[in-house]
Amino acid sequence: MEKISLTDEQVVSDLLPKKFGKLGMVWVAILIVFCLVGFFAYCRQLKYGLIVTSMRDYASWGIYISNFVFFVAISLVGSLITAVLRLSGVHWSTPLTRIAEIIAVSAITFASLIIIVDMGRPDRFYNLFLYGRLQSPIIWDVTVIITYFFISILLLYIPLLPDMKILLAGKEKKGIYKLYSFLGSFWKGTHLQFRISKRAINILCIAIVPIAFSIHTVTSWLFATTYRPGWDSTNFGAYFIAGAFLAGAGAVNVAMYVFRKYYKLENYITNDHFDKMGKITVMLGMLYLYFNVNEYLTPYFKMKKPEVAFLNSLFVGQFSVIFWSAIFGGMIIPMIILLFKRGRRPLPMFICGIMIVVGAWFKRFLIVTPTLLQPFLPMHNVPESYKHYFPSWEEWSIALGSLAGALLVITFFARFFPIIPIQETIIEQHEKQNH
Amino acid sequence: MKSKIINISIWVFLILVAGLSVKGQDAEKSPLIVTLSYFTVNNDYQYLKVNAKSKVEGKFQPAAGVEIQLYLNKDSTGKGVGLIGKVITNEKGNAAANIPPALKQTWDLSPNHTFVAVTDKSKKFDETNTDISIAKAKITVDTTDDKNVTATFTEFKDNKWVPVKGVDIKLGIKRLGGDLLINDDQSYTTDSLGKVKGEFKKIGMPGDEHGNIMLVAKVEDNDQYGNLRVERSEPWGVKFVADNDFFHRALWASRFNSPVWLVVIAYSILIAVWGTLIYLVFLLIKIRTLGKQEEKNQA
Amino acid sequence: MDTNNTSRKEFLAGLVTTGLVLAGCSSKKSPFEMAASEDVKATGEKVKLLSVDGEVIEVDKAFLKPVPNMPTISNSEERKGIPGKKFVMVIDLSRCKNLRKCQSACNHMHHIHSNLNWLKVYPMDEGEHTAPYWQPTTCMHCDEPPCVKVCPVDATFKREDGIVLIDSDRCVGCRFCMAACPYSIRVFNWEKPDTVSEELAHKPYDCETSMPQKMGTVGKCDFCPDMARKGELPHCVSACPNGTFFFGDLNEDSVTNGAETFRFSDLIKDKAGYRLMDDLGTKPSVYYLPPVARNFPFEKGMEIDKG
Repeated sequence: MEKISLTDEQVVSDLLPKKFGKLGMVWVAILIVFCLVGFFAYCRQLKYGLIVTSMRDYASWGIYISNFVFFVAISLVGSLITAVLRLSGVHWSTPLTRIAEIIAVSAITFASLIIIVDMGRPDRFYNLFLYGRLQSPIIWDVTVIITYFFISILLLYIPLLPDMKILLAGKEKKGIYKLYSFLGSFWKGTHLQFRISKRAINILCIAIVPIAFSIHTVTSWLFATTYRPGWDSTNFGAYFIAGAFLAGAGAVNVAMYVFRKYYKLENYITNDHFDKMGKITVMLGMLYLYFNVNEYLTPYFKMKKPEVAFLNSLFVGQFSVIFWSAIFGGMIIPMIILLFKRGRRPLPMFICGIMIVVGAWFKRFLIVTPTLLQPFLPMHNVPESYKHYFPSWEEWSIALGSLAGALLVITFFARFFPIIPIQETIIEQHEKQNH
Repeated sequence: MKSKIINISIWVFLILVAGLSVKGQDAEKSPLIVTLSYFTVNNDYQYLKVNAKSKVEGKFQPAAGVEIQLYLNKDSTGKGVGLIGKVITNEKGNAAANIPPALKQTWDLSPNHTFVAVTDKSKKFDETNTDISIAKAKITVDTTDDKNVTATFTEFKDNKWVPVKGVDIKLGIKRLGGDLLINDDQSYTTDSLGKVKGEFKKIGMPGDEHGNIMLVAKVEDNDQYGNLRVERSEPWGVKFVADNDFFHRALWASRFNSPVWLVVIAYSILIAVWGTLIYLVFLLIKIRTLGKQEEKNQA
Repeated sequence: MDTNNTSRKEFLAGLVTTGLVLAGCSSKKSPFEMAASEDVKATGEKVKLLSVDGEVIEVDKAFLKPVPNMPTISNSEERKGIPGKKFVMVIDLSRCKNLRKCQSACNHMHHIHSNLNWLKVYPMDEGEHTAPYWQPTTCMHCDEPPCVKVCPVDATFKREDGIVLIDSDRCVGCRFCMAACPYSIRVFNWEKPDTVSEELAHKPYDCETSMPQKMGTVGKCDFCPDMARKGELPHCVSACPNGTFFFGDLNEDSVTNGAETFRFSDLIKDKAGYRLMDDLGTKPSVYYLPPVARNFPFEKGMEIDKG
């Protein structure tokens, strides 16, 4: 543990949210531009219909859905870092909990938004609630997403309360402080309040694990409850969850590095954190690789007729470049790098994190669209455009806009709230000093 | 000399224009084909069916919205007399009309009538005149208990109904959209007594809830008599028992018919989870009230 | 002056009247009416017509032939279906030449674009040594429909008479049903359908005619229940010049292509009828008769495709 003993005041001043510097402004500006372009593209889509996308009757689900699956996958990181690690008695992960939670909240919000974007008739969205069929996996998905969103908000908010007090310390009630006051002025830090808060957080941590598992299992069932090659697998629930944990770990690695660099948090997100997260990432990567082998090797051995065209398109056909890049670039190479101690240093971790996240995005695409382009019955008597899928500029704009929006939420959260829990850090410092 | 040339050239120009315009008009119009058929059901109810189609680029297309005038007889010039009615063809190019009671006098005058269908010249089509000649006829059906069917074909001649030889009659069972033949014989031809005989061989055919089936004797597309059809109910079918089990719970049923196991599991999970969440909100409120109390105490 | 004739006429008239009275009185709807018509309810409105004998007869408006426009049916009735019927289709693969008259009739009558055919004709060239053939593919109206199972809003539903319909007023356009259908029979209105006129677009949506099609919703073959209510055959069945399609009611054990009527159970047994992808357990309602003894080559259909 390379932690330097710091005074409380030092901790507070280090961790209070700071204004954007030049780089921050540029970053926010770029994100806003992406969001605006995405919004404009969506307006076009509302006017002309989904014809502005490249989706057609065969590839009826495209990058909106793969983006949705990607967001749901990333959102599982909240339960991993915050809940699983905390419940296993790990304390080094404390600085990372809020980063993980805000990624989770942001991702699950944009998952819901992108799914509305994909609907042919978003004006009938309320039908899902008025006429919802309990038998439909989509209704299960809607229910679990709402539940998970609510739990993640609670898991973000309740640990944030002690820090509200620090943020409000002696400040006047104007501007942003009005918001802080509304959110947490009632937190006085009394013994009783801490006890209740601890109990609530414990319950949340236990509750969020099955919910997080079910959210991605149910999302996987959107595919596994159909007959199509590549989707008709009993493996899908576990396969998706393993992938989600890996993608989430990669996202946390990236966020850790960025926040540490930008806010100069070397004392709080130490090299040791990178080392430990790196080990966890390797483990998750191995797990996901294992599931991938199961998922692709066993059907390849049998080569059932509907699977032939599908597997060929992935291994040697039109999707082969993306497939092998996602496997090697998104899984194998990062794993190898992270196996070494030198690879678990901040900068390599950051690069591997990006590779993992980008690989995860393309892997989700490979799960959704190639299956649809290999239907059971031949594609005949349809326009040429029906037989291929490459997203149109509107789809790219909207997808990138949603990603930018998620990053924007995270960025603005870090601007106004401490990205590392201040109170908990102080408490842990004291505990260490008392040893 | 000059004025003569101008004169001639003007005439030539006019003729050319007239010729081209006529050619143009003819090139636009496609031939309209109107077919007329006569139907009678149960020797009682009768109607005319008319179909209009046009040939566009070598393919037949139904001609919709065409107005057709139907007449009961044809006069010496070939024009129709005794207007039955004016009909307009639907999307499939079909239209039908019944003979109004007002034409009773004309109808009773003769056992033969020539129905005429006339369309006027329009922008799309030239005028057409189609006719068919129909003689009044009847089919009577008799059955025996051992499922033998006899159908007699008679036409109205000299004020009485006389049997006709050599008419093709089909015997069948009425089904949705068509008639199933009662045995393997495709059709029968009437003998000198105008009779045909057939045996009902389709044992085990489902009937209605009382086991009745509708026996059908029909003449189709006869040049002299048109289409005749007589239906008669016979108890030769198997009783049909309705399946009232359709609206049971299933994964593919409506939202009110979810399988019980799904409802139980889903709602239990929902109640357990959201119960916990509500409890957590309650804890949050408790923290809040504690805080407010503390504030009051400090003040 | 035929007493025989008069008594026979009286008997028939009596039969018709009894039938009409029974049809009007029956509180419980019986699958087969004894009167002159198909399952049509008497409206009570009578029309005076001239009979073959020159008599003036009164016929209820509902029993006129061909059946006039039916009164509109409520949405809940459309979701229940026609009681006592179980529609089934038999497609004789030895007759299909890829003329695609079925397709153009269906597209024409439902006002759908030719990019979004509801009825598809596939060239099936399964293996190296197996015989190629043309396969007209409609919606299978499965008895265990995977599309209905996954619809989140009850927009697609299975009826008592076996037909699976789509309610375009309810559909949210999630396209899960399209992913779930193994026969790839569903199409999606990616844009505002330009084959639907302004006039048609303003009419209320009718599940049984599946018209007017709306942007952002799913469409598919509906077995033309509006035609079945009138006792007529679906448009594809009437349009095929080779009589490839046979349509009928399983409860009547008979299918017809308009010209020929067969006993369904005999037809399937004699010609070894089968269902498409039966092993998936969807229980389709469309049976195929194997393409044996064809008198035209498969390649002729390819020429029609190119033309």
